[in-house]
Amino acid sequence: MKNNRFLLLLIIVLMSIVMSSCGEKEDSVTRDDEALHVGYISTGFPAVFMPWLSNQGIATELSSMIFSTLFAYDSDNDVFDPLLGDSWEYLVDPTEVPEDQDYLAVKINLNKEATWSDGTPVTPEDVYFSFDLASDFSRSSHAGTLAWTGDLMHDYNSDYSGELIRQGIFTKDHPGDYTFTDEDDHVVYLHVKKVLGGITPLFTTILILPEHQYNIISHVNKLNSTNPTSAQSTLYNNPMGSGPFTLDVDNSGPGVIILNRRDDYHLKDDNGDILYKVESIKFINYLDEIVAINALQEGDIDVIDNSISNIYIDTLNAVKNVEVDSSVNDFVSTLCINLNVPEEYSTPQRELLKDPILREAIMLALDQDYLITQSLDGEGSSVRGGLFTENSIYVNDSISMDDHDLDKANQILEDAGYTFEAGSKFRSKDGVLLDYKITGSPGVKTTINYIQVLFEQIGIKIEYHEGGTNPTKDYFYIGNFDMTIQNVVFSMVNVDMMFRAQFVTIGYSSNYGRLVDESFEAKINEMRTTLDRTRKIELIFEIQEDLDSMNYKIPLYTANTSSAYRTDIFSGWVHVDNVLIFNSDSLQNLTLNSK
Amino acid sequence: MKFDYVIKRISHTILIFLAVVTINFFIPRIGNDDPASRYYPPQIGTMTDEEYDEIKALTREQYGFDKSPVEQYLIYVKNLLSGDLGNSFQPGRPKVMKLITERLPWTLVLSLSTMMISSIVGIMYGTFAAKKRGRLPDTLLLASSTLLTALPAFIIALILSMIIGFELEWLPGYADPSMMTAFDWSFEQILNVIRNATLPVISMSIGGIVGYAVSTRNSVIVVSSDDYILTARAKGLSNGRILYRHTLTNALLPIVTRFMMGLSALIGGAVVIEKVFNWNGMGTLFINANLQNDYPLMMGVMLFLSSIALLANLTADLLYFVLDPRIMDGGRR
Repeated sequence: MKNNRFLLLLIIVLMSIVMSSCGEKEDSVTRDDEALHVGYISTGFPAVFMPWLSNQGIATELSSMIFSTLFAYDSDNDVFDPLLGDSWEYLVDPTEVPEDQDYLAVKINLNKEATWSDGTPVTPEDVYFSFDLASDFSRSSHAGTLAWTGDLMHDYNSDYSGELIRQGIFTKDHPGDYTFTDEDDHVVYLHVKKVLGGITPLFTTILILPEHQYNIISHVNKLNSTNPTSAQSTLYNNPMGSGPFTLDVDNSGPGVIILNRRDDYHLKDDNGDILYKVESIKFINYLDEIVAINALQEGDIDVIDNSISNIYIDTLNAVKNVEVDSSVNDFVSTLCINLNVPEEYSTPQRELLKDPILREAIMLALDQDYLITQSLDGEGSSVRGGLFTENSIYVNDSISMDDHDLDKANQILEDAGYTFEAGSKFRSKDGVLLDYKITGSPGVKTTINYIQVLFEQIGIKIEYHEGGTNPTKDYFYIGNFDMTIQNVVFSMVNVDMMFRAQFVTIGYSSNYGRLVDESFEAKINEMRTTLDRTRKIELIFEIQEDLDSMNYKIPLYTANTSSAYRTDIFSGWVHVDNVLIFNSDSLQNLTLNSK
Repeated sequence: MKFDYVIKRISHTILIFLAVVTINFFIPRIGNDDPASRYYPPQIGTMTDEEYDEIKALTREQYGFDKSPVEQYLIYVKNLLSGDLGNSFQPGRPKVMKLITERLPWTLVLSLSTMMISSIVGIMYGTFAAKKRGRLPDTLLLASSTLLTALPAFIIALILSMIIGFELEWLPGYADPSMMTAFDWSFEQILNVIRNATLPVISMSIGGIVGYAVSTRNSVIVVSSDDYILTARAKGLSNGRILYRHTLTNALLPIVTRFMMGLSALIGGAVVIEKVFNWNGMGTLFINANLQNDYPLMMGVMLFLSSIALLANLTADLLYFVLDPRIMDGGRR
C-alpha cells in the first residue's frame, strides 16, 4: 500500500512536469547588452586570427571584417566598390593594348583617410608589402597566396629562393620606371597578366596587412611557419587591421567572439555619418543546427549566420518575431558525367557515356522544375546549360532555360539503337544495359532518387552510390565513377581559374570525368590570357554555348539559401542576392529597436 | 615485495605508454595519405600538377615530412619528452598543448562531476537496494537498469534539454558559449557554470548511477554470504558495523576499477553530450581536428586520452593493492 502511494506520487510529479511544459511562453526577450547576437554553427571558433590563412568556417568572415581588401566586387553591376582603394583604372584601354606588351598596367588611388586600428595611416607601402609577401612563397610559405597573385606580373624565382626576377608593384618607395610626384602619395601601380579576371583576386581577396607590424615576417620566420615565434603568435592573437571592426581579444574565446565597431573607419554613409550602424557584434558558436534554431526562437540570438535546412523553414515562419529570408545561391548543381574514364576503370556502360546522343537524351530527361519542386520543396531556380546563374550579367541568355522533353529523349535513343530488350524496363545497346550509379554524399540522395524516377521514363537504370569518407580521392580525382552531382560556380571573379579547373587542367585535382577537347581548351586558354576585354567577354558567352551543347555537366538547379533572423531587437535587415541576411548591407542599416 | 609490485605495475604502464606513443605516431602514417597534400589541399585550377608537386615537396622539406618515418618518430619522441606535442595545423599554428589545456578543464568539469555523482549516489543506492533485496527499491533498480542500459545518454540529454531546458526553462537547455571566456572564479561565475553543467551532468550521470548501483548491489549481496560476514554476525556485531566495516570494504573492490576506468571513458564519451549541450570541451576539439585533417592535434588528443586511461588504470591497480594486499602475492595468503 505504502509502495503504491509512492508510485502514484512519482507519476503525479512526472505528469506535472510534462503538463507544465505545454503552457504558453513569454514573447518578450531581454538582453544584458546592446550587441547584435549572431549565431554560427560550427565545431568551434578559431584559436588565433591570421589573415589570409584563416580560411575555414567563420575565420574568413571575421578576417574580412577586421582587415580590408582594396575593393569589393559588385557582381550585379560588374563594378569594384571602394574599400581601401578609392578608384582604379587601366592605364591603357584593354581593347587597345600594344601587341608587344605582355601586361596591363593598373593605377589604384588609395583612400587618403584609411587608417589601421592603431591610428597609423594605410599607405601604398602596405599594399606593396602585402602583394610582395603573397607572391613570395619563401616568406609566405602558403600555396594559396601564390594562386591569388598568379596574374600579378611580380614574379619570384621558381626555385622559391626568394629572388625577385620581375617587379610588378610600383609605389613611391619602389618606383621602378614610374615617376611619383608629391600628389601621388596614395598611388599604387600594378602590372597584371590578364584583363578583368587578373585583377579580381588582387582587388578582392588579398587582405592588406600593416607593414609596420608584419615586417617581422622573414625567410626565417615565415608567415605560415609551423612553429611561430612568440612575436608572431602575439601578432596572430591580436589582429590589427584597417577594416570596420576590431576584435575584442579579452572577451573572445572558443565559444564567443566579439567585434567592436571602429568609429574612425574611413568609409562613411551618404550623410557623412558612421557607415556601420551596429556598434558591437557578438558571434556565438553552436555545435549543432537544432541548438542554434532553439537559440533563435528563445531570442538568445538575432540571426543565424549559416544557411538553415529547409525542414526548419515552416517551424520558424510560425514563430513570432522570427523571419526567414530566402536568397538565390550562386552555386549550380550539375549532373557531371564521366567522359574520360581511365583504362583501369573502364566499363562498357561508361564507354557508352561518350556518345553525345545518350548524353543529349539524359539532358532532355532531366526536368529542373520537377527536381526543384520535389527535392528542394520549391526553394530553388532553374539554370541555363551555360552554367552561369541568372543573376550574373555574363549569363548567355540566348541559351534556353530547360529543354526537358521525354518524348524527344525516347525518340533519339530509339533512333540511335538504344532499345528495350524483351521483358526489360531498361534500354540496351549492343547488349550493354544502360545501368548507372550516381556517386554522391548522403546530402544529395533525395535529388538522385528523383533523377532515378526521371531516367526510368527513358529506360535508364540509376542507383545511388554512397561516396564513402573520401569520395574526392577515391572516385572523382581518379575518374572511377559513372556520374555524380557536382556543384559549380562561375562568375567574372573566378572564371579564369574555374573554367580551367573544370574543363582544361589535365591534372590530379580536376579529374571529375573531364572533357578532352583540344579546340575547347584552346578557346578557354584564349579567354583566360587575352588582354582584350571585349574579346574576353565574347569568349565567355561562346564557352557557355559550347557547354550547353556538350552535355558534360548538365544543370539541375540552383538551390536557394535560407537564413533566419529576429526582428524584435534589431530592425533594418537587408535582403541581398547570393548572400545570407547577415551581410554587409544589413550591418550598415540595422538599428536597435529600443533606440 | 610491496615495492616490487609497485615497480612492476609502473614499468608495465611505461611500456604500454611507449607502445601507445608509437602506435599513435604511426597510425596516421599507415594510409596512402600524404601529409603535405592534407596540409595543402590541391589548389584547384590555380596550378598545374607539376607546380603542385613542387609546392608539396617544399612543404615536406620545411615541415620534416620528407624525413624517414623513423627519423620523424625520434624527433616526435624527443619533443614529447620536453612536453611538446607539436603545433596544430590551424592557421597561426597554435601549440597543441595550449589547445588541449584550454578545453580539458571544461570536459573535466563534466566528467569529474559525473563520476562523483554517479559513484556516490550509485554506491549508496546499490547498498540500500542490497539491504532491501526483493523489495521496491531493489525492484526499481533492476527495472531501471534494463531501461537505462537500452537508453543512450544522448537520448536522455535531448529529452532533458527539450523539457527542462527549453520548455520549462528551469535550467539552460544548452551551455552559454561565453561562459568559458567570462569565467573568473567569482561566485557568480561558479554558479553560472553549475547552472550550465547541471543538465549535461544529470544526462551523463543517470546511466552511471544505475551502473554503480547494480554493481554495488550485486557485490554486496555476494559478499554478505561470505563466511567472515557470518562470523561477524555470530560475534554479535551490529548490522551497520557489519555493512560498513566488513561488507562494503570488500564489496567495493571491483567498483574501484570501474571508477578509475570510468574517467577516461567519460572524457572520451562526452563528445555527443558536448554537442547536445553546446559544451566546448575536448570532444569538440577532437571532432574539429578530424574534420580539418589536423594530424598533430588528433595525435595530441588521442595521446592525452590514452595517457589518462593508463594513469587511471595504474591508479586503480595501486589502489586495489592498498585495499586488498592479497594481490601483492597473487592471493597466496
